[in-house]
Amino acid sequence: MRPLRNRGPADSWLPVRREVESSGTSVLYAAVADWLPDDLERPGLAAALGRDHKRLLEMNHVPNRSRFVASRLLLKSAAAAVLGAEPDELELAYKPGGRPHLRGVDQLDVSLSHTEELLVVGLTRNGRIGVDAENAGRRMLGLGTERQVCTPYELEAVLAVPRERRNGELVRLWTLKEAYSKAIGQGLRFRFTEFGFTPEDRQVQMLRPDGTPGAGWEWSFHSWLVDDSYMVSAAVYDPGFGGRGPAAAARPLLPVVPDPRLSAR
Amino acid sequence: MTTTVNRAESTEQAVRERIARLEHDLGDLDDPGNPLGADHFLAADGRQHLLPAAERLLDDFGLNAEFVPRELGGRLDRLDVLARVLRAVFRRDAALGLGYGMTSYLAAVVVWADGNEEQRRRTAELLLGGGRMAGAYPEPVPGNDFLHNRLTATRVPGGHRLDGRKEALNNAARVDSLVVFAHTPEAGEDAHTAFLLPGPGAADVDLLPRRRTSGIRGCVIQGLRFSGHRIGADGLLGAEGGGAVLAERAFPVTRSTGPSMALGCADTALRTTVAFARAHRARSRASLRSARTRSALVDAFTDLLVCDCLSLVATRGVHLLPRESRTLSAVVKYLLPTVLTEMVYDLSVVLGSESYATSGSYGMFQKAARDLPMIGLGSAGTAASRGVIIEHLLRATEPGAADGSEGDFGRLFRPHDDDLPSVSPQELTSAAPGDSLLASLPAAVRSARAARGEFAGALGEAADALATELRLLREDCARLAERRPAGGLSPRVYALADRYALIAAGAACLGVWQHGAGPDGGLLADPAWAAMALARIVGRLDRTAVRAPEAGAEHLLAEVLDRFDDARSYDLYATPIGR
Amino acid sequence: MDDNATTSGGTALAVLVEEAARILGRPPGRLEPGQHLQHDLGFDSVMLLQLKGRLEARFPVLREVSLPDLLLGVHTLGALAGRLERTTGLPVA
Repeated sequence: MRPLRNRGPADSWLPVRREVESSGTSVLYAAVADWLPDDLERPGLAAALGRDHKRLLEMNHVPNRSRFVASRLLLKSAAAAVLGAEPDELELAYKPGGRPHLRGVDQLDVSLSHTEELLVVGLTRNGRIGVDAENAGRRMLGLGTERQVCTPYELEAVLAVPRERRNGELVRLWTLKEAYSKAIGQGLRFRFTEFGFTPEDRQVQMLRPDGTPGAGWEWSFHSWLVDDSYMVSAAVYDPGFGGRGPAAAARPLLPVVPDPRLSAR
Repeated sequence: MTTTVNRAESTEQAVRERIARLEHDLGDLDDPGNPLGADHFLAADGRQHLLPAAERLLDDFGLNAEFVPRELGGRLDRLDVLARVLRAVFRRDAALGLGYGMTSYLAAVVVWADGNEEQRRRTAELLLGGGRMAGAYPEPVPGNDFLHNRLTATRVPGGHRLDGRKEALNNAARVDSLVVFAHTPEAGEDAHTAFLLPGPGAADVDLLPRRRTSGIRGCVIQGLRFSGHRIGADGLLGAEGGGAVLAERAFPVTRSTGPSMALGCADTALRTTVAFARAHRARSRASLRSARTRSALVDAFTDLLVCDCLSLVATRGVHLLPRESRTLSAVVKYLLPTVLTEMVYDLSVVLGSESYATSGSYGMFQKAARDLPMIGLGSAGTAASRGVIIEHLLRATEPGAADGSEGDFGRLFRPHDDDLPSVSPQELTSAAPGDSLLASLPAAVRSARAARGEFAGALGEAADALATELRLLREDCARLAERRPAGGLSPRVYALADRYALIAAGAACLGVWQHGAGPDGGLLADPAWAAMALARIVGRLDRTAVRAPEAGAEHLLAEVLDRFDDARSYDLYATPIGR
Repeated sequence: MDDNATTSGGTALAVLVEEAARILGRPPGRLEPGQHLQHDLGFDSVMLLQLKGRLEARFPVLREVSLPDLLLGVHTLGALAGRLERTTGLPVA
């Protein structure tokens, strides 16, 4: 799996649909500019955003407003394409801890991240997903953040990395942690010093602070460098109910709900 | 071993004594000297089998009698009680609760619903003698690998022959009796028929390899392949082609009781987390001084109370409102697995790295976190229930509108009331357009507004917010109903079903509070918990609508800690546990 | 839950504004207690971590408090200042 590039509302969703069908999971990214409506006041936007529209009106930070709107439009369009529905037919709602979900559509789990000009969306029919993105060059080293971000085991491992790659390694660990914490609906509530990941050159696994294994085989973790500049990570939970393979692909994600008033006649 | 039972066992006093005996026998989970302590359940989980000592204990207790109706010699006459008793088992080990208990019950329910005299008698005898059962239900759409059922029965002289595979069946190798739903094309294109078979000893039944699961690892889940297996005429359960109706009769019972039992598993997750917070020194980031720890504990307890209110109404609804129980039970099956699973994730922030420990004092937490998602079987497990809610919304386009029969629903909401009519399976499939639970809401909201005391204002406000959500839902349902019927409905109905389920949960909480009021009501009569519960539910509908009262959180936290110290359960019953 | 506490920050507010302004690269005079950390000021999670690190340097007692505890229910600069004052237990000179 690699993140798929989307070039705006007119782009084809076929690659995303195919990936969800074959592996159950897809991560995609797009530029804010490709999804930002020209006019944030246009009447259709309220319908497109639903109850999120109220939040938009409370935002004054312009780049945040843009990312907020663009990311929600991208998420709903991607999910709708995978489900075979219209974006406006889906309601983006939030769990008590703030985690977004498609209300009533638990067969497709979603996650959202944005930074600078980048939007990232994760979709899975296997269970749960969390995604996170950060500029790979963003300075995190030497700001007093390492001690808040890393487990003792990770601190050692980061120091073992050649100096020029150290900051990048810290950004990778950070996005993995955010991705996992978002997948379980916790965001910054989970203390990032309490779980960690394996060093860069290995298959990513979750480790406890002392380096012993953390979450089990039902979790998988991925990191990619996207567009040569962004680190994107995903955490996927799959308890193995069977969201992949030909049998799964034959099962409709959004079965047509028959109108009972028709059969009653 | 055969268990006999008499009428006196159905009184509330007798129920409490029975649960106390089971809790006492199972003992203290945290006692390292207890052969049924946490270490042993964790070790059995690691070895992927059920703890033999626990199975022997449940044999001695005669747990199977809980699944057998009283008139057939068992102890079953109230579904809310069945769930309460099984919670004691789920508190120790969800795999044991399923593998020893629920799996048998899921199959037996079908026999109770439509088996003939002889089949009922034989099944009761088998269970009371310590036997096990399993059921292969029809696969729902969209289904998954665990729900997959490709069995076909065709007519042969003197009965049927069975062919095909059922991919995943708990206890497949060791059951003494099977209830199997098979496609019977000769009875109609989509017709299904239920059969009662002996266990899989025959040469034409193959066991398929064991399936790996991330939770309930003690359960041995295997597939079965039938190759021309003969079923005599006496194996037919109900009428040929009547399988779909028969399954529909079983669902209100299984969907309301199963998730309710699983509350025991979430209860242990919360208790383990409280133990962790209590054990940490004041300046530790996990201690009870941490606001995040306190709110995680309170939110989890609130979620458990919400889930139990809904379970209570749905299990008692099967007795009291049989024609509405199809919808009520679907709400439970739709909502509880998700809420309970997420509740455990929310608690994991308190334990931090200990939330992954597979042994030691807090090892039970990660086990619950892996077990709970298995109980609901993922989104395919909830899809059918969501479909039932959608049907209800289209039938009753004004959900909860007063239908003139605003009767006395008090008994629906009283956890300890032991006077329930027996279940009439035939009524469970004739759905009523009425909606007594939501119809009870206006009166309950009025009571909430008239409440007195410190939290009265918060309760009234949250109740109003819930009433507003019901009004919005009705408007959206009306809009949906205005559209001319087309081939299929807009996926918008999924979101409506979700909102309906949440509002029903809110109405259940408000009802329990309203009818629990009184001098001896204890926690349940206190507006604080109801205000917290409603705020949490309304927050899921609109996160800006209300705020939970801060003092209410302190109130509930005190209850959480009291129950921890007294070893009482985290549900509506505050059952003494493990002593 | 602390959003009403916008006026209780006192001098903790001054320190907070100073550090926040440094991270944002803005003059402190442009920051106000009522501003929403995320919606108005554009704080993201890395910036919040950074802020916590800087505040720890000013108030070592904050090392005992996790970032999520510091931020629980806090949305505005003023509310965070109020939380800081209560957490540090010191009037800030």
